[in-house]
Amino acid sequence: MIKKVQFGILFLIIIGSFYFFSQGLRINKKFFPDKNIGVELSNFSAPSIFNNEIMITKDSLKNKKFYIINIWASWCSPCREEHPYLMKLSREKLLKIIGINYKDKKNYAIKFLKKFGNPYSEIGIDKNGIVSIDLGSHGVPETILLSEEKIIIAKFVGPLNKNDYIKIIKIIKNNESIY
Amino acid sequence: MIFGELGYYSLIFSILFSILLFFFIYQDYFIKDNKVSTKVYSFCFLQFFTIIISFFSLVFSFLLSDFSIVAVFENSHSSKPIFYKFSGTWGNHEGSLLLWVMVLSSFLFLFLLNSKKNPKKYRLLTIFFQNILVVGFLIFIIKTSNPFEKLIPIPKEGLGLNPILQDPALAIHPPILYVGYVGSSIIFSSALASMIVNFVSKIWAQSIKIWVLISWIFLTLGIMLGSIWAYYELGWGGFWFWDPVENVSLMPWFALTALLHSIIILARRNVFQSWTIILSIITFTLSMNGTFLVRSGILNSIHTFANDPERGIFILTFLIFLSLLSLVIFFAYQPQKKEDFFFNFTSKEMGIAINNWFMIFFLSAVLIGTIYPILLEIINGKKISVGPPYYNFILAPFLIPFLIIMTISTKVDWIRSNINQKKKELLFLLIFSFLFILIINYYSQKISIINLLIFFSSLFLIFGLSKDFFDFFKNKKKINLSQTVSHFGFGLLILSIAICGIFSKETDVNLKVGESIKLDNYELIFNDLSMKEDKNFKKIIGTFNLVDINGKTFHFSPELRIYNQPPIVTSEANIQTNFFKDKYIVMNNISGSDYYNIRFQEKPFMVWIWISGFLIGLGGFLSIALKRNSID
Repeated sequence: MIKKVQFGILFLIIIGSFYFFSQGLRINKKFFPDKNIGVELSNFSAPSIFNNEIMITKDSLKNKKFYIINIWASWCSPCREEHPYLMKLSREKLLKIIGINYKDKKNYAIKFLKKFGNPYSEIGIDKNGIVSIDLGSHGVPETILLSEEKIIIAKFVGPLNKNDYIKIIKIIKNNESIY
Repeated sequence: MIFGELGYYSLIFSILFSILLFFFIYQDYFIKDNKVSTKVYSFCFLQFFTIIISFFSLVFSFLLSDFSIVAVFENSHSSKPIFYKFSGTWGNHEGSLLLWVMVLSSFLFLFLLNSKKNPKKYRLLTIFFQNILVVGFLIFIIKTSNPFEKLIPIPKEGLGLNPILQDPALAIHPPILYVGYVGSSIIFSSALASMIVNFVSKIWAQSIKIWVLISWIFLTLGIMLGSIWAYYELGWGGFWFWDPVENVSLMPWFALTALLHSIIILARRNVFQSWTIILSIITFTLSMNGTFLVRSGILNSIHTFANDPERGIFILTFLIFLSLLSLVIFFAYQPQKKEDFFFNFTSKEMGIAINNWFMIFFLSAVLIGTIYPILLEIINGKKISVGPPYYNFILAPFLIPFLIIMTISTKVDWIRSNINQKKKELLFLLIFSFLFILIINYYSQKISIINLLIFFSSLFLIFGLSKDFFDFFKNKKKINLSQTVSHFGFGLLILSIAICGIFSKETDVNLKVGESIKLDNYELIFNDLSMKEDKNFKKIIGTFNLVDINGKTFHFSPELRIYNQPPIVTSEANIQTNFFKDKYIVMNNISGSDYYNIRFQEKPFMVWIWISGFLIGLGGFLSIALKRNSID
């Protein structure tokens, strides 16, 4: 009898920890409560992919309520994965998406956009990865959601997935209802 | 470029061989003879061989900078020194798992070769359980973290290994720690097997003890190296941060140390069977738990490689499966008491039993400190961090009886009490340590009573064992050298940590070139700054002079390193070590100004922490080298 009780208790503990940990995994860890959240974006500048003479800087973020900076590359397969979400996001009226093309070749990048569509209103070239470091990025793909005041609201390391997409949409829609 | 394919396909083959191995084990299990069939042998070998090939294919891909492989591209660079190309193999999630599986499989193979004296069914079952682990991890690798994943188009250059990982101590830290972690797998497998075939006995304990020792030595050294790396490389001047990832390596160590002691008793008498089995299971579960917590990204820490929930779910499910499996087996085949055995209150057994419980207490305290923040975040979304004050507060007081019992247990005999003979010696030690404390207290009155008692109890242990050494070298008395060395190391470790923790001094100032500042006992002068190019980084070297009261000058040159791939700035502390104290200077740039942030630290007895750590490990090594089967 005592044995059965012991067994039962241990069994429940194991199942319980399974439940808790899987819940823990479900908290989206990509949604980094990073130190940078709530901080204003630092300045950056990158030449535009379409015209070398134009520089994409922090000032390129204007006239919208929200901005997304997405760091991507044509060679990065997770970028392909997240691309459809970026395409969907590009239809949001309150949002402007700026791409930072990371350590890539120009013609590959343009081919990529021709094939999968271009969600970006502007694209800056980050040939040696320095711009991304300025943006506080860890690698590709990475997505930074900014407010009108260019304050970092959220940072997504790795490809955007459905949950991330919903999170972004929710933030934007909440704001719509306020205005 | 062929290595990518070679590695991938031999990995696929190894899964195939492992699955076939299950079948041959099953077939052989019902054949009534005492020989394991050659088929089992050959498939164990094939599994081992294909995994080795796969691992070395990855190593060669790294050495040849084959950037068509994602893992190489993301973690290497053609201009990297060859040593770091090599260590880059396991400096990432995929490669480190391949290393993990390689160690698992090699332990399986080694066990098979070295267990010929044991019953056949027990050997087969051990291999069976170990093979479950191998297959589980192989599937995990192929499914979620294929190290040979291809990249098209092939990039010309890699992204580089994180510069803070470019350190000799850290390059060898993962493999050594892994041997420790994974070593406990064979103990786990054989514990399950021995329960089923009713083999939990003296003989089992004697045969498995060597595996416990090996993984314990490696785990000890692995933790040590990680700590050394943190001290020299992270530039915070600390060596243990109670970071969750450090804790997950410490928890199996507690369990393994308890196991090491209880298995020594089991190897002598048929007692503590269930307890030993439980510890074997706990040790491995904690090692797996460590992998889960680190790899799943459920913890945010410098050690986290990739945050991928899919990986987390897989390891978690596998871990839970193994826990349930061992739970069921434990309750179905719980080892029966073979002989009733009583030992005196003042015997080694009693001491070991009590300290086993202390170990479990330390383990639980660390476990709670690590897990509780995660649970809290899940329940109410709050983030808390459990830091050193919690651990110091909860662990320190219990170290005192722990050390005292440890001293007494090393002095008394097995079973029978001979405390009367030792009374004089212990009393003498007690008084001697007490006098020492009075002296310490006289010179610095600020020490709290708990810290004084820690000094006292660790000195008690150190003096006690010093007497044993004295007997050994002077009077040629027979002692257990390995036990004495390890426990002496432990006493020294606690003492040095306490001294270092209490008497450390730290100054934090901003200086620019040409300025100087007066400190308590020193004057610190910032002389010069210079630039230098190295193979894959630039460095800014600051030159400092430190003048003490007697006018003696020390030169320091801490560095800031600017790596080009990936572009990261790290600070290299300049540490000057002697037997009494470490002097530690680290500088950081303050952007947009000529000032540099300078941190100067004095850490007394720092080097003794490393020395004692290695002594602890050395004791284990001596125990194998001297081929002692028992501890007394």
